[in-house]
Amino acid sequence: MVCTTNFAGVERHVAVLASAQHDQGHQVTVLGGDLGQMREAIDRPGVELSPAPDMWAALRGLTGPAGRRADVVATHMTTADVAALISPALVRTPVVSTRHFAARRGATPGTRSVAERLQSRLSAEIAVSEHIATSIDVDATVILPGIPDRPDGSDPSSRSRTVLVAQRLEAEKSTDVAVAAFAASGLDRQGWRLSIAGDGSQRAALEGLAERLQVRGSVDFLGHRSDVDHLMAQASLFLAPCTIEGMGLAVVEAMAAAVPVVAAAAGGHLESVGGARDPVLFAPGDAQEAGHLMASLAADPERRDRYGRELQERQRRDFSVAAQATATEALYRHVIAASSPRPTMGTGRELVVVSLEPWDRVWRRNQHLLAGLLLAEPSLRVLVVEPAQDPVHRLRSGSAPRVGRGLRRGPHLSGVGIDNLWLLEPTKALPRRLDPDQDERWAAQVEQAATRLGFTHPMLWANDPHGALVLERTGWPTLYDITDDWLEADRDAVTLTRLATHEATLMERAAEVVVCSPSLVTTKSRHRPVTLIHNAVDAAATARPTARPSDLPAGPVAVYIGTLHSDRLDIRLCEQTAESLGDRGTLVLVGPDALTDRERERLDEAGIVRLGPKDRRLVPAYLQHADVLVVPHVVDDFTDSLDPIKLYEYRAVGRPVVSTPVAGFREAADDRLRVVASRDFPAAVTTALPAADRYPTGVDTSVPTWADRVQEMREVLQRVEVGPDPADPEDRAVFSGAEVPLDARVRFGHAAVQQVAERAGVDLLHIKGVALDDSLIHPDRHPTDADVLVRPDHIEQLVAACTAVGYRATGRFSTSSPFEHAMTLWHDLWGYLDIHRHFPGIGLPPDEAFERLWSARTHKDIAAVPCATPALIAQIGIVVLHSGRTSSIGRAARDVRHVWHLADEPTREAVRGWVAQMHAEVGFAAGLGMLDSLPPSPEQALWSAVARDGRIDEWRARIAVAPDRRSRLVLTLRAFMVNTDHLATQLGHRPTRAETLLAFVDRIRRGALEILGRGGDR
Amino acid sequence: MTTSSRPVIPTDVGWTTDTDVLGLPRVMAARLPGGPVVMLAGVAATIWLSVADGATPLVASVAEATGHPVATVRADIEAFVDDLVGQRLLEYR
Repeated sequence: MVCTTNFAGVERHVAVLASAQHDQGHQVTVLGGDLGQMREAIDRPGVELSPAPDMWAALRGLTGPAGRRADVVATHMTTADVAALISPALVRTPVVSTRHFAARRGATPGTRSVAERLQSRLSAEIAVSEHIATSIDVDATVILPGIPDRPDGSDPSSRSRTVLVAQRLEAEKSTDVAVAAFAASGLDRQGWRLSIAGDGSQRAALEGLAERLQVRGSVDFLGHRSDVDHLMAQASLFLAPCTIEGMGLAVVEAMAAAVPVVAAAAGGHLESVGGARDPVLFAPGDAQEAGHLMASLAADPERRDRYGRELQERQRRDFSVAAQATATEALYRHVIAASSPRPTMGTGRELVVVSLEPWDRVWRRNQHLLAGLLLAEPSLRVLVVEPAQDPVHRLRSGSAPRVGRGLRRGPHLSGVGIDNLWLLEPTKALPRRLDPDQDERWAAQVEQAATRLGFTHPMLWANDPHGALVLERTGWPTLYDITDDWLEADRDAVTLTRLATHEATLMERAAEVVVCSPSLVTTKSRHRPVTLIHNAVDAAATARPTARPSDLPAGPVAVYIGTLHSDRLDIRLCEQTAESLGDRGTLVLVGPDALTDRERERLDEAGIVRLGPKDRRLVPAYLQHADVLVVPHVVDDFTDSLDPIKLYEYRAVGRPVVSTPVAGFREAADDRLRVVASRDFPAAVTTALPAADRYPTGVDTSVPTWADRVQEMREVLQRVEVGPDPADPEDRAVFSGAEVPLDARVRFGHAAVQQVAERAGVDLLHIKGVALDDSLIHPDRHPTDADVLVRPDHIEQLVAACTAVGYRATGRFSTSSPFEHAMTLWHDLWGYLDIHRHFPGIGLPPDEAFERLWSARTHKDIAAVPCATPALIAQIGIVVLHSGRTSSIGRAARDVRHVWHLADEPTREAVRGWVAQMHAEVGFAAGLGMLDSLPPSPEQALWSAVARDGRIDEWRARIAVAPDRRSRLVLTLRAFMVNTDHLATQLGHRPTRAETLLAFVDRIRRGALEILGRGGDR
Repeated sequence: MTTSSRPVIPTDVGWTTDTDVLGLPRVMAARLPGGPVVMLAGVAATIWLSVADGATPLVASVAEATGHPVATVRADIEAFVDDLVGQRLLEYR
């Protein structure tokens, strides 16, 4: 809906989009615009058209079937916005407004007032350029306008010597600059002509200007033309002098026609033409520069061709109708889903992020990482827990109190599914001393929100140390992401104690710890291994040329970008710097304000300009247009713990920097980054003003981007989710993330489970690996896990006790092996623990076998803790039995040679006696590689099968050896089922239903191939 | 650290040794089953091993092992042992 009777840029935008949406299968009704021209432009009988010359006509139209049945109403320009928002027919219908201009709503104060009061009811807003998005007061989704592709056409160098201008001839369009630029270029004297398509109130004045500049004979005023496409296809150059275009559709159309464009470096031009490798842009209003650029392009036909084709390619890639329609549909689906808050269940990974920052327009580390993860992993679902709203605190600090917004969908992110990002903003109603239970309620609220979203196996990403409360409550596998050393910050003793407690919990129990600075590596890795993931920069946003922000003070500016908090910002140093600058320039602070009233007053009194928080999309403009970027930070242990994002932003944008010696900057000093002591800081900043060069001089394209960090974080999350890969015991340590050597880790694993068992009253024997008698340990053997055999009656007790101290199950008895003998647990410090309920090959009933082993037990100190082990003879028997379950080559064979073939005859005789007592003859023969010497039996077939690779044979043998009919039936059915524990290990995450199904089909296929004797991938 | 008591390793502390890349001994100790693992090298490892051996008096044993006068190292050794006691890796008995 657009409430006009025209057919200009906005109406054309509507017509193109409506046609594309119709072609994608949607039912589309268009209200408004010049009916005849709209019909001609849309040219699809399926799209209904109705006039809407004003708001009242629009309201009438909305009460009709089109409005009442609409899933979404899309409005363009303020009158249509207001009509939709006040229409009684649309009370439950999402309304999405598209912003075409980089300005507030409404042409008059009255309309503006009404529209801005109502605009919070809009479900979403679209901006047709980043420039517009950054210039308006709401968080809009940028969807670039689409232009139908044009034919390739002739090369610009073979076209007529014409410079084309196509725009209304109104003052704000700066056509006078185009005329003056043409005169300055001198192209008229080389036979070039300037063609101006369009009409308006300035025409006579422009004709007079051309006359005065003595180029009237070479300038054609074409008036309003309906064949602009044709004119573009004929032109050699396109000149775009307007400085206020939100997007500049004519420029994009010129790009589609491969016309080389010379444009004012302002507004949407910086995104359209500015996206080229070497854009031809001139300072807004600078006719001389524009003329020079035109002359230079005119003299270089090869460059004209190259530049024109590059612009055409860019239009086809980034300004296509299909891309616009697809992005618009995604947003519409998001707002439709948002009007029904029930989430759909997902099958992918689930992540609960307890964040130190809210999800707002100021993007920080968490938002960059999470947005990247969501894009990289379409099935990932994320719940971001924002800091709680504290109405009492807000009231005290002079802000309007408000309560938290609770659980809601996150904003639409291009490419991210509607159910994939959720936000939870709790409310902190009272101070802790009045409401000591609030932390527990908060943690419960987080858990409940995850449950409401259908999360079944979430991971916890604790960026705020309070996440420890959620970890303690839920036991979710946890990543502790440390971005600041809050223990070093200036906080009261009670707060510091609370933070220290949370931190200790997270350091002890989190599966992985990530830090963002080398300083944090030093401090935190004293306690446990950590992974360093630095900050980075939004490369695309930083590299895009921008217009100078209108609120940046005139004249030279020293700019600081970051959160204003006296933990970091040295207020006194800011005052001194401003004083030193005097009239030479202005110190400007850009960022969220966490200062006290007194600190604000001090900055204001010093003449320092505070511009407040800025949309992430606007930040590059402040960076690029700074004469010098400054870091007047306090230098202490807290700031040393930071890895300031601004370091990356500053480096990427290449402006000169003056910093106090804080971490990051201190190490990065170079010819454009001066690090000076606080006492020298004011003078250094003053000397740097005004800058000797302008952006993009000094740009550093090697600065790491968030995309790099997203990949690093994915790898960490992978480890959090599944722990190390248990599939290959030799590789387990590689994934442990632990600095504790593997041998020591395994020893501690035995000692730890011994402590757990003693406290729980559990009988267990330590078997294999480091638990063997020293004489039996092969010198080249490096165990990777701790194995224990448990009194069968005590199994449940032990598993519960282990779980209580941080072990978690990664494999079940039923899926461990054909013998279903062991389950695997993982502990972040002690690694793998295999709990055996019986030992394969021992034919005695498990409880009887354990009792025999237990009664003859001996002890070995492991990690200085006395651990019960089987007697020496039993240990030899167990090593050989264990070898029988693996192929007869490699480590197992070496083990057997070490314990059996090198043993003396009395020892062997004793072992044979033990084997007979334990009814372990078949397994023992298998371990010695003598299975073929035994008569055929189901048990012999099973041991043969497990030592070979054939899974069909193995299942056949397992079924044959099953004790009764019911067991055989169960095994027969399970033979077809996928071992989801192993699949999880292979995939690196719990398998989705689709992945399980795929594995099932693959299992059947491999089984069939095996039966047919063709083998198959295993 | 007092003269009337001596540091010992509690029963719920596990510890083990290995060597670093230069072949020098180091000790890893941990409260069990919760951790964390503390790695001790150099003189710290020597002190731990002396405690484990039940060497008395501790300070004199370590001083002898490291070739320093008792008066020079006493304060450092006692502070280190106190630190380990604070971490409950050692206890006075």
